[in-house]
Amino acid sequence: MGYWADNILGFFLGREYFRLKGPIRSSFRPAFSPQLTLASHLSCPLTSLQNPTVAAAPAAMTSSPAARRRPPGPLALGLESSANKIGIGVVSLSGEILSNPRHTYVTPPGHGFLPRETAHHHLAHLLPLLRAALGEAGVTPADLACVCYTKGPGMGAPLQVAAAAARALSLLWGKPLVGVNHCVAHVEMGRAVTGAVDPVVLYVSGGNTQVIAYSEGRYRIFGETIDIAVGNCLDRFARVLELSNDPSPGYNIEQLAKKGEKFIDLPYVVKGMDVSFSGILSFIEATAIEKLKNNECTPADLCYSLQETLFAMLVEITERAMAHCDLKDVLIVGGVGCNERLQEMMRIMCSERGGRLFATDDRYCIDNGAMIAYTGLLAYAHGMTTPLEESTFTQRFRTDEVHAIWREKEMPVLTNIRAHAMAEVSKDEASVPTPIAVDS
Amino acid sequence: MDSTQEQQQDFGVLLKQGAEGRVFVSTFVGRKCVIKERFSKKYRHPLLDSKLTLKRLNAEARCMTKARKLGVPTPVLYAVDPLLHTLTFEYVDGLSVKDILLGFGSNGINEEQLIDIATQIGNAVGKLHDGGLVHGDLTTSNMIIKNNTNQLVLIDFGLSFISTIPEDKAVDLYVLERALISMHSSCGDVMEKILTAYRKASKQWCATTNKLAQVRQRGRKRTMIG
Amino acid sequence: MKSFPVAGGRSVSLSLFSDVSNSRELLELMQSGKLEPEVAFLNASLVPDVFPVLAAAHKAVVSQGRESLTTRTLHSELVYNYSGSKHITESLKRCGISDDTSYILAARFDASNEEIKAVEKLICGTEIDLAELETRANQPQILKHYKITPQELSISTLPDAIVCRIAARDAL
Repeated sequence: MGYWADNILGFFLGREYFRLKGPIRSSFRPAFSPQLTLASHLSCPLTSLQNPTVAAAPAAMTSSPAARRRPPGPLALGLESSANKIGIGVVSLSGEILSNPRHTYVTPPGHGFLPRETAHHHLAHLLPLLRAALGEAGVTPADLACVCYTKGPGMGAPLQVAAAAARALSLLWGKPLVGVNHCVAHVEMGRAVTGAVDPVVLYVSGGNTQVIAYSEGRYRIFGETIDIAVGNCLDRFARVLELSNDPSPGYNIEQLAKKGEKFIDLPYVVKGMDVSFSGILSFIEATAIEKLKNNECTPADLCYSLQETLFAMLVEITERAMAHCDLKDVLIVGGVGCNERLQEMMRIMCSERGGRLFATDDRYCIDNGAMIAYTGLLAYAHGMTTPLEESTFTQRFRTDEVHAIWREKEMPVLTNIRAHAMAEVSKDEASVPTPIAVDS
Repeated sequence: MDSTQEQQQDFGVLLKQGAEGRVFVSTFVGRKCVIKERFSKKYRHPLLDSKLTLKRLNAEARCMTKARKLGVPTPVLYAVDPLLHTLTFEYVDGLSVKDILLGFGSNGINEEQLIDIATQIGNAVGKLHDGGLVHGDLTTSNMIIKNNTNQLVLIDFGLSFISTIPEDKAVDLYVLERALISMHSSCGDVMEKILTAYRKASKQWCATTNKLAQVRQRGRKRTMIG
Repeated sequence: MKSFPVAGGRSVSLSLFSDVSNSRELLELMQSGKLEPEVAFLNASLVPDVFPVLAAAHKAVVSQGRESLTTRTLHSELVYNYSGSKHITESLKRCGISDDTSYILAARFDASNEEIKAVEKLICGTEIDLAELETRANQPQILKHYKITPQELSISTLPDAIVCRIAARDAL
């Protein structure tokens, strides 16, 4: 990318701060605080970028060797910024991930992330990540077939960052745009990484709780939450206990839950294939906190009981969907899908039914750019692109609104996944625990 | 699995392994019957598991007999065994509505039969709701059309509960609507036909369908934040 | 007398009597525990079919196997179960016999031929075919006792409605 390219991109995004050059340390994570204004944050990026003490952690992603072989078939760039993470990835149609750097906006304990501050964070990290994605992959814009971005669902302001950037890049590079449904991207990424062919998918994250299966050209939602998402329930519970948001509230709940001993009875609400979590949250906010004060239980007990109850509900509706659709395998995707207790419970259920569990680790579970690139590329390969004038973003975008044309005419891409791009697929053996947020 | 064979000897011929339990065909004091065994789930915490299993066993027994009192056909309950977690009930000979609708999807729709089924569903659910009973798991696999009489029989009351709150009834209908959309979208708008019959059968249809509109809306708004 | 298999190799033998003249005597024998052999007496006008009786017998046999009989004996448990109610005294009064009951269904578990003969000797009345249960049943009394509504009757037979109540009693 040349200077002029940076400038045009900066122009599109309404900022003129893209002149910074030099090596970008993708593992750098600034102590970003929401109080910082965008301007003050941007005024000192170069110095902090070169601070070697901060940039110690090696990249956990599939790092590319200096002279890597370029995989056959078209490549795509994907931009994801629907929630508190911004990620940019380059993938090939064969499912190989050439690069997938990501950055998370971490808020102080007791706080959630707000749209405005999150968008600022994403804006600040967009260009470094883009540079890292292209550099790590060893590709130039000319090598790309299309530019993919998250069209929705998500929070408006953060979504806008990727959408605007994708538009700019598309015009700049003369590449077609592909708008991608975030939920479908999770499913496709999970399928590509694990090799699950036709699974029931449990998609669990901070904003979504869905049980999905493919039927008649679309990913149909068989079960979902009637109120809040499971990740939202966990996050808000973490806020009540004032657990750290670093690397993520869910990860800290999971660690604390391992020390829990006493099971506390919580509301258990399953309606058909749907679940409801708001009752648990209000129960835990009122009654359970009272118990905590009276020393009837420990925070660890609460984390443990909450996980046991929430996950039992999720496994139950997944099993119901399996019985309903007559499918054997399960794929878990989304941020909460990293939770090993959830994976363990699901694995027990699957083995009782003679099926398999496919799960991915944090590199693919959590929002990332590669999943957007890969799904966009699938659509692109089947002739679907998003014209510039339709390249909008939307907060509400149902999974079943997408015509999954690539599932109708499935191409043999799944067999081509290269070993080094594979996630640790945990089927029947226990996977090595990995901390959730090793960002870019 | 060893335990399956053991159970088969105890309960009869395994008919179906569902999500909740196993279903066997057997005889009960001379009549052909179905034995539904709820098994404990190893993935669940033991305390949670025993609580849920017993709660649902009793809820099912109670609610399926209550449904009959309201004039909604369900299998005749023969026996409840809280120790083995089994229910024994009448064997209903027929196809599930799921299979019939899937058949319509692949072989073309029999409009007359579709209307008859939708009307019976609307009627049955309307009667349940007016009697303060919420089925809790209204999917097309939980409805059977009896072979000789074409009568609709509702099964699987494990998630049923007593409630007169419009919200609960609306969610009940919403679950059904979603099951129809996800599985039987090729059959056209079956839900509208069901709701037409529901409005006629239920005196409180107005409050419920208003609430249903809200529940649907919530479903769409909910898709936020990746 | 006709014998029906119940469960686990156990059976129950039923015989139906009309114009019984010694019900007071039978009741006294039963209450003093001197009935030989032990037998259950049901108020047959509440019995429209043998099936509900068999369901009640099944339930009694299962309870006995788990040593969890609610009443004193297997035979009284049958009568208690048949009522579909949790109220023991009331159940035995309503579904059992009283001083002036003349229409009686007798039930004996695992009865030998001798015992069957002994039961027939005990009761002073006319033994009639079990098929008469349906026509001789007192429907209004049954509807009242089991609280069966016309709505339910529109989709259910009388015996099925009774069986449901017997089965679901303890789940309530």
